[in-house]
Amino acid sequence: MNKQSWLYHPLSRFLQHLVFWVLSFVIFVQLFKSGTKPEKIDFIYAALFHATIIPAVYLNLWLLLPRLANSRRWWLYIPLVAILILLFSWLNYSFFQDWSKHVLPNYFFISYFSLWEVCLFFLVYIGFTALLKLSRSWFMVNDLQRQLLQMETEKVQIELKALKAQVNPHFFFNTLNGIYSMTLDKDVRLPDTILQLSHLMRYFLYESGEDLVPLEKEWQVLQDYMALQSIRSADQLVVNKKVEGDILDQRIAPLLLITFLENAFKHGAKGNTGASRIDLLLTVLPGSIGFRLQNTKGEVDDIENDLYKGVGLENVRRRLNLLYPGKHSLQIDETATDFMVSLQLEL
Amino acid sequence: MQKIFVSIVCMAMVLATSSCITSLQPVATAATVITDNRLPGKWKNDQYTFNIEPLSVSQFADSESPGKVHLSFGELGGDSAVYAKSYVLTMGKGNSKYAMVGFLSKIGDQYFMDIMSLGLTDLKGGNDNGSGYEFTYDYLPAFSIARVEFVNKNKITIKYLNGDFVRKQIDAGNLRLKHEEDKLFNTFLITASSFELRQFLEKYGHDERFYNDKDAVTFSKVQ
Repeated sequence: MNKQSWLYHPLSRFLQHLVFWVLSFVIFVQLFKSGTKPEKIDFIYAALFHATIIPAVYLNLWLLLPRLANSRRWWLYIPLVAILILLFSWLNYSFFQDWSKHVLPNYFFISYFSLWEVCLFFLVYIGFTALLKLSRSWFMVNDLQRQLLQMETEKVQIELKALKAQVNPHFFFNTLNGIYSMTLDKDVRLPDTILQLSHLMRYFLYESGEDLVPLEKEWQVLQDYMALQSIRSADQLVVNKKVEGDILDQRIAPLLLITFLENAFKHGAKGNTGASRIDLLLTVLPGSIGFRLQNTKGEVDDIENDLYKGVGLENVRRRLNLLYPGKHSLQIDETATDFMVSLQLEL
Repeated sequence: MQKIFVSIVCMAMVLATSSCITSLQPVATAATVITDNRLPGKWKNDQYTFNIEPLSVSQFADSESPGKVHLSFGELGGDSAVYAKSYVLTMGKGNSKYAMVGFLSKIGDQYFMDIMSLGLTDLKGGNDNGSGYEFTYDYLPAFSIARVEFVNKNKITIKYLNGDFVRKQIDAGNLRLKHEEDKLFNTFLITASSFELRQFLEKYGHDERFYNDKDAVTFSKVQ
């Protein structure tokens, strides 16, 4: 609307109206001239004819249409417009057929049309100008809708970015803590661990900005994440992961699946005094992606900042609604010992 | 001698009515034409004597019967509803007659007559085309419009609309009525429809500027 705001400027609107009436006047004179070319009396007649039409048109545009038609009170609008047409037609007819000889005694003209034909004139003018106004409103509504859609899209984008940003911090702090411990122990896994962390951070920083990433990369991120988490979980953690189908050609929204894995480690694998297990199954079909995760539940010894507590699953639910509206199903089940997540995405 | 007399009468009529309006369309239509029992009869003034009778019973009716004279009304011939109520105005001497057809209508409280010239006829056989001052059937039918005032049942006044005034006002851009002008032959023809003419007379029929009092004629009924 900003680009076309000059169309709605008061001066521009005044000029549009002026152009309309000037055109109407010129066409009227040409169509209804009494001889082969327009004479003075033709201009006077056309001007006086318009003098009766213009008030009727603007009464409809400024009073009846906004107050009645816009609020869908057609039952009142239509009869009032009919009365308006009849009243002004009668005024027009009476002026030209009778009153003008008193007002303008040295000019001689008549109505030239029957009352019914004058009513038709008014009906055409009022109908046409009403349609012009409604079409202008339609364009304005279209502009507003487009703006609204753009704002909604921007809002969604902002929300998505914010949601993505919630995913990461806690994990990085824990991993850095683990790396710190490894440096103290001079653990030989330290270089690979740092490299894996680097891959992850690169993914979080750059790849996650995309709308969709290769599923292969997302799966690799899961594996890097599990490798980093295994620093703390030691040998008591058993991870079973399996891919069914061709992972290479599919794409998925970034950082969706890692939330479930993060949750699994939060609620089970970390700090568990007994053996714990995480089973991952990724099923890839041409039109869908299925992800199933089952993990054992255990004691959580990691004090999580209240700000992030419970955010993970809510986060992923919100993102699924935004990114795959009506095209996903998420089922989360919990037993006494296990936690199960099943996600189905239609592509 | 008879022919010269009729020619002089016709020329006088033409000169007297040269300032009247010539209209392509009559004011009266099938729906508005009327009859009035006061009209039929013989009328005269100092100069003229003429007869008014309904067309349907006149010698000029379009009929196959012997003694009737067939008149071709061109495009108007089919409008029998109008002609059923029209009048023939005739003046003449001997076997030559100058004939006009008149349609009477009432607009408001006034009577108007559309008068169309039929020209000169010779009942003995054929038309007398004369020297050119007389009308012939080659002319496009057009109407003069006059206001008929019934002074009493035996006296009428006929006032033609003032064509000079109308033309002057149109040329000055003060009057709006459909018309055509021919500058070459200085002819002026009102082409407004019967509806518009009726509307015009409804509004300006009482405006005396539209009549030429000099050309008004009063007739008294003889029989």
